[in-house]
Amino acid sequence: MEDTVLLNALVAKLGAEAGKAAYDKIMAIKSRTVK
Amino acid sequence: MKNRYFWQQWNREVVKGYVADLYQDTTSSSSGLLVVGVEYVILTLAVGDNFVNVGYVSVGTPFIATGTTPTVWSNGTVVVNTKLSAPVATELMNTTEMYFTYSYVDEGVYFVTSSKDLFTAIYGQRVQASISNANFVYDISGPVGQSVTIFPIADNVLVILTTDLSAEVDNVLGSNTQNALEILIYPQV
Repeated sequence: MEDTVLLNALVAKLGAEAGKAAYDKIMAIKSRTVK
Repeated sequence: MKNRYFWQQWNREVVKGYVADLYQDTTSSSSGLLVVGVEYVILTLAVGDNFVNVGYVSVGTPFIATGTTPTVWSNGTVVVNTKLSAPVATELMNTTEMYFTYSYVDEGVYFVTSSKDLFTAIYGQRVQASISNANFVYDISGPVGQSVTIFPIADNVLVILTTDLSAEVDNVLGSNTQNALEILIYPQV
């Protein structure tokens, strides 16, 4: 499920493209660190 | 080019480092008045509340308050002050010739931004970053504690994730133990 809050926050800070790339990386890490 | 010049001049046979103790404590409110010109973020908008007249755009998107009184703020929406909620770093050592700023992104998610493009190897430098003292214990009810994770997401941005082992949460850094961020930069071989 998409985390809209985090995605919006990252896009606001980094811009659309870099924000989405950062979001994908964070979600990949989260899936391994949060159960 | 500016960055390349910096690294060429700076890259000598010396390991350089940055160490800082981190502390993070969220400042938020669910009623009252906003302060014009201050940056806030709303992570969950309660049904019925309306902040559009004070600059709010969407959940997660920081906004600068343009007014003190939202149209409706009676349903418990929590408004986070992003500046006061950012991690606070007590610098113990910094021989890197750059500075680091901290910002609040989302619950349990923070940025460390360096003044130079540090977290990329394109200028020859090698970087190691670590954060100390994440911990947990396992008792009869299951594991409890905190985890802290760091990783780069841009040339000059390191992300810190703090969790209570089930979800990202705030108020972990420096709350139960010291969390020291250490960044070491090794010269070009």
